[in-house]
Amino acid sequence: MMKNLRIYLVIILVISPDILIAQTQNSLGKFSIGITFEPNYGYRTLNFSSGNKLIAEKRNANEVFRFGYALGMELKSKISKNILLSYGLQYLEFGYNSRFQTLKFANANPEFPVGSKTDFFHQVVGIPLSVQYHFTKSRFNPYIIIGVQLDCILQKTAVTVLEYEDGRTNSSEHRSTLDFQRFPVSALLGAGMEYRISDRISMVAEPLLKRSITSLIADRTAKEKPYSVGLAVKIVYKFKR
Amino acid sequence: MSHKHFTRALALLLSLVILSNYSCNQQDEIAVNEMLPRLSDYAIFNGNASDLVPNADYKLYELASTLFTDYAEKQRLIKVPAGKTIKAVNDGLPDFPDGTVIVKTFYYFHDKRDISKGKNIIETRLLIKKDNHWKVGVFKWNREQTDAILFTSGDYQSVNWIGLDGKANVISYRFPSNADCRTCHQSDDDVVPIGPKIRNLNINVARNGVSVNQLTHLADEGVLNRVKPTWFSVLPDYHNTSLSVEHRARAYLEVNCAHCHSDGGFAGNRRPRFGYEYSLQSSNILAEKATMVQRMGNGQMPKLGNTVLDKEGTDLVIKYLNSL
Repeated sequence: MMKNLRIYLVIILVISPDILIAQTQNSLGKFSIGITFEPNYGYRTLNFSSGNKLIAEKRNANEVFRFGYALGMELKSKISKNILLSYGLQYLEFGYNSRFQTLKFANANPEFPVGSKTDFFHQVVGIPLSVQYHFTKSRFNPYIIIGVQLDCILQKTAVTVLEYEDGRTNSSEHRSTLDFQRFPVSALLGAGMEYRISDRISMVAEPLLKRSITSLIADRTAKEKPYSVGLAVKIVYKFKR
Repeated sequence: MSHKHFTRALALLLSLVILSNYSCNQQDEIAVNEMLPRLSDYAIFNGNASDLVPNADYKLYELASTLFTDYAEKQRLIKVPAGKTIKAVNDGLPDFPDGTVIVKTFYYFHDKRDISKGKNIIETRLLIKKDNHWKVGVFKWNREQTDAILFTSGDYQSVNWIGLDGKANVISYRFPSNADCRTCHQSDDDVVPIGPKIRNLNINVARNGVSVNQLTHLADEGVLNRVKPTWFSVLPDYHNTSLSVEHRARAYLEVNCAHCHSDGGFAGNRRPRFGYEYSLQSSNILAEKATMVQRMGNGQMPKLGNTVLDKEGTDLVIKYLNSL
């Protein structure tokens, strides 16, 4: 609880305009639209009660990071000289992988698979909402980002890949639409560098940390919170100066 | 919106999120304490737990038609408190006394063609009736197969076995979370058993080398009140190919779909009713035929309880629907 409060206070301090608005003129557009692609690398934390601790230990031993991505559009509105409000719509996938597991059967048979691994991922529509504090008005325009993202998980997919001795693979897929919390909320923290190509068009690179605040598991005794580190690449078009 | 307003809105949102997390934490211990932490705490099995030999107060029971769960084998046990009996009131679920324990253990034979090669016990699920409400518990068996531990979070585990056709099967077996349990066992705001309806118990079973009616046998064992099997209907075994496709398919829908598609069930707001007691007209199956074919055929249904398509069961239902 105290940890959450500290985070909360930092957020308020950072977005408080009385403290942080710099007294400079800048050239931020009044309104802009952009397309964004963010490859990311994600995992999850498990905070399980005593009854579930062995499951958490087993999962932590068996599961590893997974590459995911987000693809979408972003709108920005200028709300003060240095601050932009950013919001948008994304399709994203995040999850984790299982480690390779050796399979043993009651009868040896060269036709049987020798191992398997499973890719678990959620397919999601997300609504990011953040504020950006821009430091300069130069061609290279660095800024910081803080915000939240509301996700709507469409489904959870598990793809199990079987591996055979001769190198063949075979995969099967299972989709679930029930066994998770439908609307997780995440905190966003990042930085960005905008490079102005012309008066209206910019290229943007944003290293972004996304950390779920709410649990993915629909069980109150176990908390699974995904997080990811990504680099969003954007092309932004400004409508008005 | 000014940035001040935005700041306030964001602060309010974050406060709500933090507070909701905090209130969830307060409820954690209450939920965990409803069940004992280890399966062995319930003294269900005698001797080596992995032999699945029940203690005397746990009685084996079987069902005419069973829920498909990724080809898992299941052992079903029931215990009622001394001096009390289950009361059969109609074809549906009987009246279970407080203190009833229903035990379902899921396992896979290593080689289904030769069960002497042993089995891999995966999980045991308990339903315990206390203060007129059912409590659920999922226990995951350890690698040594000596005991199982309670957990509530849900999990996946790679499970493999050799099927009757001699082929290798590998699945990512899904352990249900407590929330998943409540989804399937939901009846309004309560939890109820699914399988042991009287019509699903009203079959002949082999006990001590003799074929007996299970309702009579359970009454002899002091588990069920004394009833005549002829008072109740019989749910067909959907595996029995000597029966009509209609009866088999309706039995399949009863045990695999009706618990959600019923009044008070998880999908109770949708119109089809798959209980065996519904006539074809009142079930609304005809109106939902196309949707059923599509959703079962592509694995969208059922939404919980398995990770692989029940090919035989789905083919049976689709064959029935196409005959309508």
